[in-house]
Amino acid sequence: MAALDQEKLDSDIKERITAMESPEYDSGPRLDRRDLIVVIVIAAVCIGGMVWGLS
Amino acid sequence: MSSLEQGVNQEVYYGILPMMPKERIYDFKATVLIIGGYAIATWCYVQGGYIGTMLPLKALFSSTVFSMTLVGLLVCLVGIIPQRHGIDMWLYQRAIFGYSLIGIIWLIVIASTWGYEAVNARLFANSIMTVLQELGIPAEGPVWVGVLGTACIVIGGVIAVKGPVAIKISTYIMVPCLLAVGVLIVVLIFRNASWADLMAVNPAESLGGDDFRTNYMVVLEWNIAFIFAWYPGFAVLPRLVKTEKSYYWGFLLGFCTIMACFVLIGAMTGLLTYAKTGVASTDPTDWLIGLGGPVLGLLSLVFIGFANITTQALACYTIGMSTKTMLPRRSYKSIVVFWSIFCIVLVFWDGIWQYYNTYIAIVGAVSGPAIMLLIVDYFIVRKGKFSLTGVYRLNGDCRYRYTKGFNIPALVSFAIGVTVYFVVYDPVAAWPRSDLFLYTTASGFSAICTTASYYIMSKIPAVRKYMQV
Repeated sequence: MAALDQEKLDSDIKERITAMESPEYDSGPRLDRRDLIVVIVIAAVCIGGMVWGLS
Repeated sequence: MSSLEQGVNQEVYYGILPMMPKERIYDFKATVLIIGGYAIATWCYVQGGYIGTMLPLKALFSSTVFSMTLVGLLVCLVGIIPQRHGIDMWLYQRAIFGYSLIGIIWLIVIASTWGYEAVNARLFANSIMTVLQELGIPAEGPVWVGVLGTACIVIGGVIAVKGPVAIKISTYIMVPCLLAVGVLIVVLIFRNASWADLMAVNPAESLGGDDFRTNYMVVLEWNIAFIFAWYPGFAVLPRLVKTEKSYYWGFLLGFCTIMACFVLIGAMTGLLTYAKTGVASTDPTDWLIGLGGPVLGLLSLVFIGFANITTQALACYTIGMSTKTMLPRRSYKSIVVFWSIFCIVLVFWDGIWQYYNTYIAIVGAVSGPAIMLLIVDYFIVRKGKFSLTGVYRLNGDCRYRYTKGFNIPALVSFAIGVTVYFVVYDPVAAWPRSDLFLYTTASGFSAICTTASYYIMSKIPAVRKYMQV
C-alpha cells in the first residue's frame, strides 16, 4: 500500500482533530459510578486477600 | 478500496492518525482474548517459577492474584487516554515530558521491553528443543537456541506486518489452545500431588529459611514490577477497543487477572517440581515432560512453544506502532524488521535470560514512575484536557516544547521515582536495601514519591503556567 505523503497526512490529522474537538463528537460511554463501585469492591477484596496471605 | 483509502487505513492502523470511534475493531470479548493471549505467554511460567522458589502456596496465591489485580486496577487507567482520544499513548506523553524528553524515555522503555520478547523467543526455543530431544534428535546448545529463537521472532514479525486483523485471527486460534494448556497443566499438577501436598511445600524454608515477610514483599515487588512492565502494552492496543468500558475491564481481566492465574500455575508447577526433585527450576520446559509424561508433556510444550509466536506478533505490532509514532517517516514494515533484528541479537546474547530478576527490576524502576506520571498528569493535573494540535505540533503549535523539549517538573519527578526505587531495593542482589521496602515495596515507594512530587509541583502557579495546564 502506498504511504501517504506528509502534506496529506497532516491534512487528515487536522481534519480528524477538528472532528474530535467539535461539541458533537462523542467518544462513547465512559466509566461510570457503577464501574467505580465495582473497582472499590475488587480493591477491598484484593487488600483483604493480601492481608490474609501475610498472616 | 482506492489506494488513497488504503493509505488512510494504513496510517490509522499502523501510523499516527487519530482513530475515530467507528474505525475501532475490538469489542470486550476480542479485547479479553487478545490481551489475555498477549499476557499468558510462557513468561508467566518463568515469573511463576521464580516466585515459586520463595514462598509456600497460600502466600503465593495472595501475593500473585490479589496484588496483580489490585495494581492492575490502577495501571489500566493509563490506557483510557489512547482509548478515549484515539491516539497512541506516546503522543500524549509529549504533553507530559516535552517533545525531546519523551524520545529518550521512549527509547529506554521500548529497548528494554524487547527483553521480554527475547525471553519469549528463548522459551519457544527451549520448548521445541525439548520436543526434538524426546524424539531422539540431539538439539541442544546456544546455536539451537539462537536458530529456533530467531524462527519464533521472524514468524511473529511476519504476522505483525499483516496487521491487527491477522493478529486477531491468529489469536482466536491460539488463545483457546493456551487456555487448554493451562487447564492441562493444572490437571497434571493435581494428578501428581494433592492440595495438601502443595500447601506443605515451603521452598524458601528448605533453601535457607529467610524471613517470611521479606520473601513475601520481594515476591510482591516482582509481581508489581511485572504489571508495571506492561506499560508499553498500553500505548497502542487500547485505541483499537470500541468502548472505554470494554477497554478497562477487558484489559484488567486479560493483562492482570488471567495473567496472574497463569503465573500462579507456573508457581504451583515449580513448587511441585521442587517437592519431587529438590531442585528449584525456573524453566517451565524442565517441568512438563516430568509432570505429563511423553505424550501430554510434549503436547503442552508444542502448544506453549507456538503460542509464543502470537505473543511475538502482538509485541511486534504494539512496539512497531509506538516506533511509528516517534519516527513517522519510517515505514511500519522496516520498523518491524529493525526491532526483530534487535530481538534476535538479545536472544543470542542471552543476558536477559540469565539475569531475569535484575532485568525485571530495572524495567519496573523505569516503567513505574512513567505510569504514575501519566495517571496523575491526565486525571488530576490536566483533568483530561490537553491540546491535540500541540501534541501533533500542527499549525506551529509547539506548546509542549517546555525547556528545549524537556518538561523539567516531569523530569524531576521521574528522576525521584527511579532514584528512590534503587534506594530501597538492590536489583542485582534482588533484595531490599531498606526496611521501608517491607511496607511499600520498591515500586510502591517509587510510585508514591513520583505522584506526590509531581502533584505538589503542579500546585505552584508558575509551574502550572509552565506546564500549560
